[in-house]
Amino acid sequence: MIREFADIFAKIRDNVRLSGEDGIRLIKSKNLVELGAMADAVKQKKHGDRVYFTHSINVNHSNICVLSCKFCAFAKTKKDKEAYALATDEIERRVRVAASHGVWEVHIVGGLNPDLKLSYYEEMLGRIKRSCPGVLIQAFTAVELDFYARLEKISVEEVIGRLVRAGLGGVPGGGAEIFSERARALICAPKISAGRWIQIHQIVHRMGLRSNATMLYGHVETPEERVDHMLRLRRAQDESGGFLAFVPLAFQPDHTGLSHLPRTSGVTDLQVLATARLVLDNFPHIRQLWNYVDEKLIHVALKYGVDDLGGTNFDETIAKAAGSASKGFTREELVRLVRSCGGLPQEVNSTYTPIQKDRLLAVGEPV
Amino acid sequence: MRPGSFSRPRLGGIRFVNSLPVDAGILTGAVPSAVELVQGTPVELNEKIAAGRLDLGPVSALWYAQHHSDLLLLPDLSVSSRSPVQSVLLFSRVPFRQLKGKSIAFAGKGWTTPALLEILSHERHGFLPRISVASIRVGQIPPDFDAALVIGDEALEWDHRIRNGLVPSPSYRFDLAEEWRGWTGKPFVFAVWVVRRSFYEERPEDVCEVYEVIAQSKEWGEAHLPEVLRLAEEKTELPAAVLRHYFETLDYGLDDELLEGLKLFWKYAVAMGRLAALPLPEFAAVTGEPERVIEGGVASILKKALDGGRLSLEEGTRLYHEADLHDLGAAANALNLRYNPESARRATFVVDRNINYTNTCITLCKFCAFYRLPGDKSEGYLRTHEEIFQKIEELIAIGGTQVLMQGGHNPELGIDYYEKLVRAVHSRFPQVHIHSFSASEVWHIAKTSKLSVQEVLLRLKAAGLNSLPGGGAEILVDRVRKLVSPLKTTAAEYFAVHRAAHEAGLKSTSTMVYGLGETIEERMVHLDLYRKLQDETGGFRAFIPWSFESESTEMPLPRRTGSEYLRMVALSRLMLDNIPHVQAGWVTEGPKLSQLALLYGADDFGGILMEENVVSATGSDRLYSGVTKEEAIRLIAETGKTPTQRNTNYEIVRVFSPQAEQVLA
Repeated sequence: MIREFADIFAKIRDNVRLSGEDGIRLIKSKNLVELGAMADAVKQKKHGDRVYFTHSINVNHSNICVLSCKFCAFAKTKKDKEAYALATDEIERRVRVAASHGVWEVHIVGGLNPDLKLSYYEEMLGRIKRSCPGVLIQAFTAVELDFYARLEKISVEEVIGRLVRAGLGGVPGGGAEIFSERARALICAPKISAGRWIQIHQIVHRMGLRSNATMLYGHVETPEERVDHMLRLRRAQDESGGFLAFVPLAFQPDHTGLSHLPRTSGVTDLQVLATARLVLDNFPHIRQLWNYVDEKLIHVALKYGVDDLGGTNFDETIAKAAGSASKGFTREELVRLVRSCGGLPQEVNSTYTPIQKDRLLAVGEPV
Repeated sequence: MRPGSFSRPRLGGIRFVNSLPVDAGILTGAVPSAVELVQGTPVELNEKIAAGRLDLGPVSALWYAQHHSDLLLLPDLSVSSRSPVQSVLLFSRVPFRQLKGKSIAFAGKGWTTPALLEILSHERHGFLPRISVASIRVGQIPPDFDAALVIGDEALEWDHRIRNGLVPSPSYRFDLAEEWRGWTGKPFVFAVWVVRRSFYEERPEDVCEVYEVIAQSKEWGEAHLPEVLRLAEEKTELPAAVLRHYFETLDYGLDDELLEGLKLFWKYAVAMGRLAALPLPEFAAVTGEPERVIEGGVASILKKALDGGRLSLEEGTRLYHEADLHDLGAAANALNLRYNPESARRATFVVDRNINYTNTCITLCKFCAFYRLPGDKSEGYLRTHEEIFQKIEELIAIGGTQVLMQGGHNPELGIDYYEKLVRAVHSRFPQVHIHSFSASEVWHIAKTSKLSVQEVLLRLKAAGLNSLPGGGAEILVDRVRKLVSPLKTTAAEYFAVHRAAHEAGLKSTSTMVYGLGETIEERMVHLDLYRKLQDETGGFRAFIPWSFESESTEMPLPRRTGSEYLRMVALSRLMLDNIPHVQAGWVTEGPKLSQLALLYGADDFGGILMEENVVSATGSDRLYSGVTKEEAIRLIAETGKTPTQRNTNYEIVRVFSPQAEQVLA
């Protein structure tokens, strides 16, 4: 059934790498059934019907940030009434509650808070590791790692080394935004450059950790710049090989400095996902976070190259009230969602090690 | 059967008591037949079918999948469990997870069970079990083993002996069907009935006859449980109460839910390498007129549709279950271009407003969160003409052309009210198209005013009514309607109103709300009924499918997926070969999905529905606050088509610039 893209599909079947021009043709195409069919074929070949997710808790240790990116609705200045920084014992407590609910993965990111020293982060990781040794901690974007290095006046290698010794298990993909210098200057001028972001991830990879890569789309970037972002990641991955998942993030305009922009449409979301699956031939996973698009689009995304739905973002306040998240998904709801789309749910941690626990499993009762 | 011309068909039967409720009628002679019933363990039956020593009979669910190209399924027959099955048990000395690396004994009488154990161990506990064939004495895990997997009568007896203190109780007992159910939420199918494909092709009439015998025997078993229990007691020495409970937990049919469980099991078997590829279950046609199996599969059905052929209900059902979403979309797009060649470059939409003139209703539909009962002083309402005019003025201010007045079945309102309302709106706003009153409202007016439907429609038309919306269709199969809206119009009444409307010169639209508990076949029946009336009257302009939103209603049903929505849009386009337009709908699906529908066979974005109250009344926080005219234009432009405003008659009102596409820099 592939007609318009017969040439590209032939390359895919022969394992020939797609060019930037191919990528631009794909990402601009309105022929979604062909995009979907090709992306699904590649996804099927790599993962079959498997759909991965992590049962995770998100900790944002502080919202105080020295940057003021236009797309961000989270950052606050120190003087703001809503500014906060969590004590490490509070973070430990939250993780312990989550772990008692079967969470095996902790995801920690926060603002660039100049009052928090590297020892704070070491203590945070150490406490979590001591009270929940089994959980994997994926924490601190490249932007944060770079900031700690400058704050402590040490190399980023040393920062990473000390955090790994304290318990860091992987680095998330945030902070990549969009690599294009033109678009980056418009939305997050003071943030580290694209080159620095990639460099830090390559250091992370050389030090033996795996990481992910995001792309924020749907703001001021062009389709060409989306493909450029993917190509830069593909080159970096050829060199250091430590990226696991590509995570496109649809821009959420509400309460940001770009709130006049519309939300991304279904066509744009699927163009990005399918193109990523086809262009990023050296990325094992394409992840669609459930909290960035409508639930019904997630169902369709699973037919457009996505094999990973990210974390459950366990909310201990909700779990305590014994209710389920009104927006968002509990572990069971995520499993049900995957199954309702014909997928085979596979719980993993962020290094894609399968999680099997009999607590999920209504263990057979002793006779 | 033609005696003498062939040997007697040879039918298999499972030697365990589990299939007695199916076979008892034949075994006792209560259902006379010329078949030869050969009993064996599931593995023995598998082998006999493979060797051609049996023609039909039950085989293991996994074994069928491995040999499906040589076999056809017999409809509505299986040994399945929706709950603990009690006869597929793992007795263990240690907890499940500690069985890693330990030896598990299995007597080797089944085929599906070890695969099930393998899937559960691997997927849930992360190890592959070491299963070895060994002889097992009931009540005793063999000395060299840490666990025993037992099935059939032996499992029942083992349990029974434990309960009566006759054998020591092993530390752990796992019911694998229960484990599967708890983990997947799906039932488990252990065995299915099959016929060898070659036998069916040679002797379809005989297969139909034997199938009839099995079906009668199964019916006899259902009606004569005491006799079945007596037979079972003789075979096993188990008390009747235990057996009765056992039979009650088993299911001998093969409905959609069971098929889904079966397919999920096969999927895991593929993932585990037990199965080369996922089989497409093919059924022998054994009821009604004997006919050959549908040849060639999904591709040929799609080709038939593209060649202009009308798809049958079976073909539509098969496409729903088996066709790839993108293939369906491609075929639906191609057909859409044939019906609406302009859709290559444009997509239409209508600027309309929903006006719910009253929410008072006596129909009590279970899926509705909008209505209030007569006498509800605090929340019941009836809009005044002034209020309605005000709303229409707002519509005209944004360039709107269509008013969609729909309301509850308010027992106080008769033809006079409606006539006055329509006349008032029409004389004040002659430029506005009155696309109002669903079939059930028309039926209600006829009833309260003691008029015929024809008279109601002619009087409303004379007052200024232009066309009828398709609302109130839900699923046009009375079995479903009785369950969800017993007081609403029947399917026949619904179509009688639309027929009368078409005859009166009023056009109408057609709709479907799926996900109300109907089967896929019933969805196809629904489409086919529209298709048939359309053949006669040609009065339907468009078809609009949407999914049921259950929050705040009396029917908490699972939310349907976005991919199913695109599948339904595409299937509607493929099945409805005589209805010109297929509309997307954002109310339940959201702006992203309604946009995508335009790339899966729909040619029209539908209405922006300035004021939607009915679905919104479900209060579902997964719904969308609304799509403005500007958003509709932008969403359409992003599909690469020119946003084109139309009126109700599909005449072009205004063409927007295709450059309305989101400015990126």
